[in-house]
Amino acid sequence: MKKNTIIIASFLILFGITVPFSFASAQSPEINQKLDETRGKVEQLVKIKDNSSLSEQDKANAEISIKREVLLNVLDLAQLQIKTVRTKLDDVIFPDTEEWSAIKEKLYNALDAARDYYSTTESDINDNDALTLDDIKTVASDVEQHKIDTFDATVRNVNDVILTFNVGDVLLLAQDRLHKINSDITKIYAKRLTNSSTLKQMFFAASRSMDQARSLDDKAKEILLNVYGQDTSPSSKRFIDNLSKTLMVDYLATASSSTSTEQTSPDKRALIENHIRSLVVKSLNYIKQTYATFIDMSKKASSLLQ
Amino acid sequence: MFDDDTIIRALQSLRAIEPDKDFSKKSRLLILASPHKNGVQEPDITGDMNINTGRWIVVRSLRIASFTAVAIFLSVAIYYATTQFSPLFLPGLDQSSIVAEADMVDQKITIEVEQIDHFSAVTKESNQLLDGVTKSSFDHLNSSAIGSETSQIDGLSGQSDTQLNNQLNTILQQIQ
Repeated sequence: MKKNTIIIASFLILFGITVPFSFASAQSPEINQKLDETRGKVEQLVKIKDNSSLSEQDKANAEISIKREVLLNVLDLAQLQIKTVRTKLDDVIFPDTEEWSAIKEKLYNALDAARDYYSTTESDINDNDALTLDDIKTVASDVEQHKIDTFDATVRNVNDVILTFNVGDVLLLAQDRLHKINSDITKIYAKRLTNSSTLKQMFFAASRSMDQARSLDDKAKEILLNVYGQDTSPSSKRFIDNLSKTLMVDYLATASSSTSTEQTSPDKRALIENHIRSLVVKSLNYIKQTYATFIDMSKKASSLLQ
Repeated sequence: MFDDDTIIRALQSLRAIEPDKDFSKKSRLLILASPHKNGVQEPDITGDMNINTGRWIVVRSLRIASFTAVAIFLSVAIYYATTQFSPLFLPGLDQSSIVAEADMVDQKITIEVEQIDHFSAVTKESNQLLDGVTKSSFDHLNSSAIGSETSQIDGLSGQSDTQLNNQLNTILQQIQ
């Protein structure tokens, strides 16, 4: 009996669970490799600078050459990041609505624009062998500004959308399990297999956790729709203004109670991004809590029905 | 009416009855020339492999396969029916499948958070590298800070965003 249960469970796992998820590696090896390579170049430059046997001219030439390579590597890194998030974005199944289609298009366009910017800049550097140190510094400064102003925010936004929708996938799986358990609980009490109400109470607790998880994920999606969607519509503007005010009040309340002496006014956009992330993380925690209850229910059912 | 002896004699005379020679010959030839009813005949294993041999093997294999499939289906159906209607059949509360599912969910969540943390760390380190290019040079402090981030990024597994931000803030404060 036990063996057969394991076989059935294995089939369920094989066909029922693995299908919705495709596990990607947590970290891209290409990105790590490029990062290691760049760190090596920085170390190399520091050693050259310290090398008293080299002439000042040699040191200056080495500086141009290595800084150029570091800059090119940073451009590669940005393009690798774009490639990675773009692949992840391809896997997201957006709701078939105009608003989500517009957001999807906007995210893809932002990634493509960033990719074009970095690849063009990279080609420009590669096509010009006579770049001086000042030229390289100017390009690096422009790239840095673009990264901070545009690219970093784009990647954060895309990651937030991906994370929110992936939580939606996990929620569906947990919801399916909740339905299965619900039919078992109905059967147990309909057939009077136990007099204890513990399983029923545990089921209600799991349902409440799931409701919380779903509500938080829905809230995150609502914010994404308003923030990344129709920015120009009055209702979205009102929604963002109200949310920003609430978040700012919360932030100031937390900041004033903290012992930190350094207080900077936070960026409105950063506050909203952090809020989205915090909603998603809370939702995930509720899902984990729901599964912990499911496991406890399974153990309790085994002991009650022996 | 006939007496017994007459009947016995008549019956004994029937022993001598045989078919007409010509009819026997024709019938035999007709039977031998007619096609086999089954169409597929068990081949003579001593003979050469021909198309009939192939067909026989295929048909025989199909028969075995279909009998096996029916047997397996019946076994599964009987097992399913007995467990399904058992009051103790509770698939939703099956511990091994819940644990496997919970592990998978946990793994997925961890991977998602790790990926985002890793991205955030790579972004910040890239910005620092660009900063090094724009300034007069990478100095020791800068390079050691970047070096120390290597371990920070490599050891991100399972850390929350807040932990990561705190670490990065510390690093940034060190290099200022």
